Amino acid sequence: MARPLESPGAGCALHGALHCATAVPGVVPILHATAGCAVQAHLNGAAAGLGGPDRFGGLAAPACNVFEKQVVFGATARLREQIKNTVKIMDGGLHVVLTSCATEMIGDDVPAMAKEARDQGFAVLSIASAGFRGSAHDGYGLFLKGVLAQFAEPAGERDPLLVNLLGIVPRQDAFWEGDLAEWSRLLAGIGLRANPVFGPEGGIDGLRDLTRAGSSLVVSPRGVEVARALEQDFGVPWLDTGGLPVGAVASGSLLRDLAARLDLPVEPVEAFIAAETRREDHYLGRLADVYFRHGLQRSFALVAGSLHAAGLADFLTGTLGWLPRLVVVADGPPEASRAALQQHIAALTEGYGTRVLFSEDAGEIEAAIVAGGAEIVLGRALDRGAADALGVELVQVAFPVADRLVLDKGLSGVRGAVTLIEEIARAVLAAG
Amino acid sequence: MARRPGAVTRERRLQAVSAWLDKPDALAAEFAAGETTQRIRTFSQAAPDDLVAALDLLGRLKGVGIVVHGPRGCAAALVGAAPLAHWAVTGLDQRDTIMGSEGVVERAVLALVRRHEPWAVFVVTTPVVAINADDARDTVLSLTDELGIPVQLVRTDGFKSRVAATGFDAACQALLNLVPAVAEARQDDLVNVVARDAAAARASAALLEELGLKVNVLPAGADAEGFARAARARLSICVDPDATMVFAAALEAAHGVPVLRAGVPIGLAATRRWLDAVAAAAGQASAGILVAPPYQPAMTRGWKRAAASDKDGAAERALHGVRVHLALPADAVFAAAELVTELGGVVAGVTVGHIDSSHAEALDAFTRTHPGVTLHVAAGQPFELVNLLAKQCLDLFMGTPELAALAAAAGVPAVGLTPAALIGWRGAARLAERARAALTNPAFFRRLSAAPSPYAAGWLRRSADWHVKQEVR
Repeated sequence: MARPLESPGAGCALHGALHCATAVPGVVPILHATAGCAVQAHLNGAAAGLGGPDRFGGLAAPACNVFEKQVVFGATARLREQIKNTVKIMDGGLHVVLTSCATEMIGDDVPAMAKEARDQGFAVLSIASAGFRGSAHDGYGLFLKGVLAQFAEPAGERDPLLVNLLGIVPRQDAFWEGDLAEWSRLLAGIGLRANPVFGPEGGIDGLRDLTRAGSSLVVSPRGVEVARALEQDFGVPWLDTGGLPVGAVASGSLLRDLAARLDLPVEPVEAFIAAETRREDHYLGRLADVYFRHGLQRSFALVAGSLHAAGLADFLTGTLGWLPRLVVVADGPPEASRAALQQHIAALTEGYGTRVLFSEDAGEIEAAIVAGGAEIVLGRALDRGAADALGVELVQVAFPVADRLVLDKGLSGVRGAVTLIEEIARAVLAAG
Repeated sequence: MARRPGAVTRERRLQAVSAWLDKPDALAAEFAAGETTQRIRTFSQAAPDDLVAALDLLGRLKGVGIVVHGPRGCAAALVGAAPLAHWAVTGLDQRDTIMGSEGVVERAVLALVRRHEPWAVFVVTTPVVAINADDARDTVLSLTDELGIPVQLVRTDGFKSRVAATGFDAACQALLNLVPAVAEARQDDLVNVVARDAAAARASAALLEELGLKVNVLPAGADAEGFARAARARLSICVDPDATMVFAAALEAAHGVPVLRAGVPIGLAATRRWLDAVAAAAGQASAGILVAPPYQPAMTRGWKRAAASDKDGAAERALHGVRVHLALPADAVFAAAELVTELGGVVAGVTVGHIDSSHAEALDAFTRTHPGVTLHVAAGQPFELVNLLAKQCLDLFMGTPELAALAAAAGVPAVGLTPAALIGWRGAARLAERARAALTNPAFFRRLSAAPSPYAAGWLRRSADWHVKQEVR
């Protein structure tokens, strides 16, 4: 049932599925939608750090732009025509038809159109992704589960060192490319290979390899259903991290867990973790002067998605020695995941009287931040009003990010922790 | 009873065309004959709709509330736009599309009013509620009575019009209801600058200061006071008429504030003509202002000052012999073409998002001054643009930033400028500076164009309108 929301950051399920499709190099989306859906997605996705669209995204995304006559009489003929011409015009390897509210409401038989194209030898899938099915984060699961159901094949032999990275949503997690790159680097450091699927290192082969991986690393609740499907249908085991770790301590802990599960030799893993810790120690040492000169031990309010909320709270509290007043999980994670996430964050912030809130509503979040009275806000561009009301700095760490161009910066792992420190210092120094 | 908003589509009201690729004289002839033929695409890429346009305009009002009645994605564009308005979405889910969504509009409006105390609220409808016939009109009427502030219904549906600007019209009709009638006398030195784009309004206002006029900008950035002043103005000037002329015209019809239809101040001669027309209409000077002091020296100074960085005085020749493709909204593109010509350039082609009978006069003049130029009508549709650019032997592309990025990726040196950036003397100088930079060092364009094209080689060999056909009624 409808629940009004003030200024929610994320778009709808269709937008999430579209962002996923365009983030896989070689995949061409075909929006079976009224005009406007793709543009809304484009304008929303641009709020993930201002970067432009991918090769088949933004204004280039093929879209049926269904009009009145087709809404009344059905739009399957228009879709047939669009598919036929898309494969002639766009230079892609896999075409994914994404349905919308309008075309699902009028009852178009989209799977039949996709099958018709497949029968002609074209790689065309269809995914039910109407906006009313949920948020853009939900669209991530719809996309990957749809691909698994229609495109993936059982692997003859699995690669034990290949690890699927699941739960990072393109263009809805503002630092998605940097986080995928950082965890690809960290996994490589202990002798594994990441299958990021999305971003410049991803691709159609990455989609195929989902079933060939030795395991899946689930870094947010958004990856759980996909990991379950991979386990049930293809036997790929998975490890739930409860969020992306930030900093050497938490990242090292996860790398140890993973190595133990995969029976990796201990020595090189520990050597790598030690090197990462030395790296972080080096930068923390260089931070110290600024930390004390500018009074960088703060009480904080954190507003982030379920991907980052726990990891950031942990690093700020456990490494930087900050005082957590409020942690808001602002991406509306599935109900089933909330109790565990709440417990996880509560454990990380135990002893500080921290309030943990799940909300996507900007008004409710603003009220909570102001009531909490933190000395700095780490949140979204949408939280500017709350920070101003408190007269404190805002460090934009979650979607939407509007104060800088984000290309390959992440906020997790060791490099992400250093980025976070730099961003905090930038905000504090800019404020004088 | 509140006025019932709801716009007639641009296609019906102004014979708007959203797909065309040919010489412009044939289209000019269709407008002259009073009937245009609708053409449709058998392949298309992302395009804006009336909902996106309405939200774009309404989001620029200060202190109002917007409730988007639909699934959450229907308001998603507002996230990136950082609007001045407060906004919420009713967040319809799958069940609501079957069972209806009783009470949710009211709850959303009341929550927004409680938190932010907006001075007006717009309830904007979406494709889902249009298909469901989920009418919020009664709710809006009762909320207007209950809250004591204007609560306006803006009907957009995403599928009745192929021209997104239809959404501007829907929003403009609702905006008129925010203008109170005034009993006081008109303020002779007050001019409404009617603009969607605050930057366009600022640039225009800077020009008007030279005439000693006071400016009331709306709807961009306007609050309740700005709308309250609107009916007291001596006249209205519309600087982005594709978006806001319906509002200015309605203001004229309802409150007697005349609209000065003088085009847009883009280009050297056009800026002079525009100032001349404003001055005459505002009673600041007689016709002939073009040559009469004190304006002429001021204008000359304005251009010289604007082009001050141009040490060798070559700004007027910045585009000498350069073949340019322009891609701007139709209300600005023909003036921009004149500016390109003034700077010595050669217009090879123009792309507009749509074109309608309100542009017919400018189009007609353009066909006479620029015979043989290709006219391309497409909102978005980069595949057409890339195909077309590859066939034009261009030196420079000049258009909105998004399209400039596409042109650059296609290997054409590009300048990204909005119409607002071209306004007045400074706009002319800015174009000269940017064009010379782009032509002087094309390294970035070369690097971008080295990446693989998203389009099949076969497409680039075809005609750029291979997929466009006449609509069967």
